Amino acid sequence: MNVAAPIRPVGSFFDAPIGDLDDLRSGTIAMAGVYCDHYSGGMPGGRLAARQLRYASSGQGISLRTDDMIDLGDLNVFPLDPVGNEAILTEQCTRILATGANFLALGGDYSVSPALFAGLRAASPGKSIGLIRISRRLDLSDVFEATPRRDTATTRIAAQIPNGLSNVALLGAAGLQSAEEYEWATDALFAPRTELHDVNGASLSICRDKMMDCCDAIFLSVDADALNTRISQTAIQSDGRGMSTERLLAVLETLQDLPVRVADLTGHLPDLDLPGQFSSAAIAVVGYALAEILRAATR
Amino acid sequence: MSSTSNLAATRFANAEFGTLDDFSPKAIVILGVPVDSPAPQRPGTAAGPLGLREASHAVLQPYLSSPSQTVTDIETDRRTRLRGDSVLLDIGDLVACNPWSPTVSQTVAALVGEIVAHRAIPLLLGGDGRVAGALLDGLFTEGQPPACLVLSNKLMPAASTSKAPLFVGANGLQPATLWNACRDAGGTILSAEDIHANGIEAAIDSIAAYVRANERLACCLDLEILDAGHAAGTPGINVGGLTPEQLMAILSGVPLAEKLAGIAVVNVAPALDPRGLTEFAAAEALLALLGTRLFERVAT
Repeated sequence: MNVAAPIRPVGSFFDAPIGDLDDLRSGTIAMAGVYCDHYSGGMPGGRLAARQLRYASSGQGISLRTDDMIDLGDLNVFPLDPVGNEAILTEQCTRILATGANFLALGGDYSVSPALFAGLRAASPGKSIGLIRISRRLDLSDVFEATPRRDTATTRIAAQIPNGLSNVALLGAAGLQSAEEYEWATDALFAPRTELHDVNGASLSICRDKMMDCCDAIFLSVDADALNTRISQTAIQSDGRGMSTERLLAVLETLQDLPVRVADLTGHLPDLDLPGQFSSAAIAVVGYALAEILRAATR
Repeated sequence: MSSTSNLAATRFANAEFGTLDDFSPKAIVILGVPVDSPAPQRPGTAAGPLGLREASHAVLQPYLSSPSQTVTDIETDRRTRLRGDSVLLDIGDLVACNPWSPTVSQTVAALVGEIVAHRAIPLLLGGDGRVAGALLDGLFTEGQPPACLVLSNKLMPAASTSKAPLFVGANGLQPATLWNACRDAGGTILSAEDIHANGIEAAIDSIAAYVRANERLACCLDLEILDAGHAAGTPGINVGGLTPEQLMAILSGVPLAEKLAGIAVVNVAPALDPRGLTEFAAAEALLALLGTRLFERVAT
C-alpha cells in the first residue's frame, strides 16, 4: 500500500474493544446496543440510538478507561414478535450475566427494560433484586393488555419482584402524571425531579440507602426523557421540564456504591438530534456514567 | 387490533366524531381546514389539522392513561381532571379547499356562522393564516361581533378591521396599511419585544384586562408567534418570537375559556419540524386556551 491515510477502527461504544461472550469475565463491563423501538407507545427512533452513540462516543480523541469494557455489538431482536422479542432479550441478558460480567444496554425504548430485568432475575436466583428507574414518567399504568405497551415499564418490572414496588426507586419524575400512577408511586421509593436539585437531599439519600439495604442486585434504568428537552431532544414536551445533563450525572454519581449489575439507557431518538451530535454526546456521557457505576459495583 | 388502537388519534383530543347535524349548544365543534400556504411562504400547513389532532393525544396522554382521567402535577401537587360534561365534536376536514379561493373562504365563514347559530363554538384547525380570516368573517356576520384576540407575529388583516382588536406577539416588519387599520380600529399591540422587555407578568395583566373588558372573544392562535428556534414547523420564520413557555404562561394565566366565541389555530406545518415540537406546542397551547371548558380542578 503506497497510501498512508489515517483510518480508525470501526466505531464501538467509547472506543472499547469489540468482543463476544467468550471475552467476558467477572469484572468486565459488557455493552450491547438494542435495536428495538417497536413495542412502546412513544415515537419510534430509539432503535437507532446504539449506532449514534457509537458514533458520538468514539474517535473523538477522548481518553476513557475502556480496558475492562467489551462492546458485544447489538442484541438480537424480533421486530415483529413481542413475546419472542422479550424472551430472546431475557436469554441474552442472562447469558451475559452468567459470565460474571455486568451489563450495560444502550439504545432502544422503554419496552426493552422489563425483558432485560427478567434476565437479571434469572441470573440472580435467591437474591433480592431491585429497580432504580430514572425517568420523567412513572410508567406505572396497569393496562397490560394494550399494544403498544404504553406506560407500563415500571409495572412490568415490579410484577417480577417478590416485594413489588418496595424494591423500586423512581427518580426524576416530572410534570403531569396519571393520578392513579402517582398514588401507586407512594408504594415505591420516590424522588421526583423537584427533589433532586440537591443530590445530598433527603429523598435521594433515603432511596439510595434503602436500595443498598434491601437489594443484592440492582437494575438501573435511565430513560433519556428525564433530561431537559433541549438537551435530550427526545422528550416531546414544550415546557422544558427535565433535568440538566449535569444534574443527571450528579444523581448517577451518588449511586456508585450500589450493587448495580445491569443498566440500560433508553429513549434517545437520534433522528431528532438534527445537528447529529449534541444530544447524542450528552447521552453518551450519561452512558459512560452508567458504565462507571457498573465498574464500581464490581469492586 | 387492540382496544386502544391509534385510530383514536385521528380525532382532536378524544372528541366525538360528528356531522353538521350534531351541533348542540356550548359544544366545541372542531373543523379542519387543510389549506396550504401560498408562495413565497413555505408549504406544509395542509397537514396541520392531522398534526394537531395527533399532537393533542400526546398532550392528553397522562389524562387518557388514567382510569379516572385525572392527573397530578408533580411540581405543584395540583390535580385536574378531564371534564365529563364537556362536548367536543370533531366533524372532520373541509375538502377541496386547496387552492384557497374566495369561494372556499365564504364556505368556511358560512360553516362558522352555522356553528355559531347553534350556540356552539367553532374551533378551526388550519391551514394557514387565511383560515383565521375566514373564522372572523363568519363570526363578524353576527349582530354582536366578538372582540378579537390575535396571538401572532403579524398584524392579521381581517382582525385589523375588527373593533378594538388586541395583537399579542407582533414581531418584525408589518405593512403600513395594517398599522393604520389597527390604529383606526382602536386596536392595541403588545409586541414580542414588549413581552421580552417588560416580562410575562405585565403581558398577562394587559391581556387579562382586555379579556375582562369584553364579553365574547374570537381567538386566533398563529404558531408563527413562536420563535423559529422553538417551533420550526411554520410557513414563515420568526426570529425573536415568544418561547413556548411564554405562550403557555399567557394562555394558562388568563382565564379565556368561558368567553371564547371561536378559535382558529393556524400555520402549523408538521413536515417542516422533524422534532415535532411545533404541533406539540400548538396542541398544548390550544388545550390551555380551552382551559376550564375541558378540565376541572380536583381537590387533593
